[in-house]
Amino acid sequence: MSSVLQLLLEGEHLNTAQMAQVLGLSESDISAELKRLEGEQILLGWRPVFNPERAQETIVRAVIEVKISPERDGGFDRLATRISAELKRLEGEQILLGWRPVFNPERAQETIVRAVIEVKISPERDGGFDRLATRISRFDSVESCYLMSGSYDLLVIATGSDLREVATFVSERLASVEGVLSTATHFMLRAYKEQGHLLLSPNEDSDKPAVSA
Amino acid sequence: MADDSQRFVADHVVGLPRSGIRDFFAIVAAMPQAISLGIGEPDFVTPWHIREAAIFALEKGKTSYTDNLGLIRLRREINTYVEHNFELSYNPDNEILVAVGVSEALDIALRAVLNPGDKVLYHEPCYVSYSPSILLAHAQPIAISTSAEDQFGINPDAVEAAWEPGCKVLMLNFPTNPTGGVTERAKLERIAKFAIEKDLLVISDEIYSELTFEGEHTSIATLPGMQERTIFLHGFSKAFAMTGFRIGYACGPAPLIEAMMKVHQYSMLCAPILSQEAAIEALKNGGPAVAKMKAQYHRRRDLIVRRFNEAGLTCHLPKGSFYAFPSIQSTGMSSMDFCQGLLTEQEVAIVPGTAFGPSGAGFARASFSTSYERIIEATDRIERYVDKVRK
Repeated sequence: MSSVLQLLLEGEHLNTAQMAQVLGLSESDISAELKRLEGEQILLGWRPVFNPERAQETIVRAVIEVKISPERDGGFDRLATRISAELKRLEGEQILLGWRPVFNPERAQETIVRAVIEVKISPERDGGFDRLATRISRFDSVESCYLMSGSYDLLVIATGSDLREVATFVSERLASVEGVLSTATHFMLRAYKEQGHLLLSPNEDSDKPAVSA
Repeated sequence: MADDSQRFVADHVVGLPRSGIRDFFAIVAAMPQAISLGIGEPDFVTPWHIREAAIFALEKGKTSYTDNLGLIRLRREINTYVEHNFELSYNPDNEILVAVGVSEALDIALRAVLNPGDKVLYHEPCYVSYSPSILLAHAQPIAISTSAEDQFGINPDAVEAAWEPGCKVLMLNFPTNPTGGVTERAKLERIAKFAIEKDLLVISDEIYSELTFEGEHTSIATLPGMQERTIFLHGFSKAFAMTGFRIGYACGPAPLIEAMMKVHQYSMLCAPILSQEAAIEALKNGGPAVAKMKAQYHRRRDLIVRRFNEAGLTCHLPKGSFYAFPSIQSTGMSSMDFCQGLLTEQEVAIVPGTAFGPSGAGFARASFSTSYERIIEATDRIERYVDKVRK
């Protein structure tokens, strides 16, 4: 695994200049590596990280603008080029906290197993589902956790390096928590779209002629 | 109230120096904007699954005392862990004691084996408690200096030169706080031979061993003839980021563990049960979290050492721990002057090397247990300060 990818997987928000410092490489090395990771569909793109306390309408607009910009040269650099004034303002006011890489889960790490878990829990007199949901959310294995309407309460997306790891998490950690009534685990088999990014095989469009009328 | 109660304080406590770190950090505490590279503990919070195990134990009503030696389940896990990681094996029934951190383990080990006036060899610069712990056990500390030339590993010749009649114990701490020094196997073998020849008991504090970035960590207890004369100390604070749980352990020959247990049972009784439950979870399932933190420390180390050298402060590569120990001799300043000036002018806190013993003069300890961003900003400021004081 490349050192740039390892650093991204650590999850600290660093810009290309800082990444270059940490790894003792030049900024152009970092940009080239980011381009390669994007080219190989390991890194799918970047998601903005907002301060939830300060989310306003302007943010929604900025996100849409970023999403429709066909950027290809690294997630952070676009701050300096496109729609930079608005984004810089959002950053300055600590509304936009940074950018988080979006990975292709099937390629970024050696092996990764994901499961969707339906969890029924008993609500508490003070705070309803919040305390238990937060406790469950804190496990490293938990990628996402949502309160749902319908026949179960929490939808938990959990990851692990293999089936056994996820199964152990569900049986020994999750199911044993006081207040968890039942769990139903569904393992994901394949990803077709990841957080807005379609996962196409590289040569899907290759039937098109290079030049046409 | 009249302030003459000082007369009640025991003579050997009156004579104890205050920790140099404490005085220095009283100043830092008053400067909220300062970037501190002075922290001697992980910046990571204890991995959630370990914290959750403690919560779960509390929910289940585990609030009692435990066996003085610690929960047998924990002692069995400790043996499995030590066998796997250090190639050492101990009987969980009578050769392992769970203590309130390595600090307590060290204290009770010294109190269990030392008679008044016995002499204890230890290497320096070292953790601030070593010499005071020896003095509190009514024994006499004998420091062995380590140097940047040896990358702060211990030189067997220096051990032999420092030895004198009456020496009973040799204390080792590799990787070392504050220098990050380690001692390679060949040298440890010579030291082991010397310890056998002079019938020394070795107390080996290996709290930073998981954070060894270069080569394999070797415990002196694994060398021929050493397990029966070594008290091996280890804990959860550093690798598992569990400082506040206050939990560590000692492994050694049954008669020594029994003696330590006596001191422990009459002073501490047992380590807190919730911490013991958390420790079991750490040993069983903490491996991946430790590996993740270690990888991050490794990158931070490479970054901070490179930045110190670029800033004109010669810094050896610490082979373990999360401390860099750059030389500030090129500035011509004393450790204390350098660190105080750096703090007031650039608001960066590092610890003067002299806080860790006289042989730390000319050096400073910078912890890289903080984010990349803060390391970059702090070392930029240090570079500006060094440029200025050199002019």
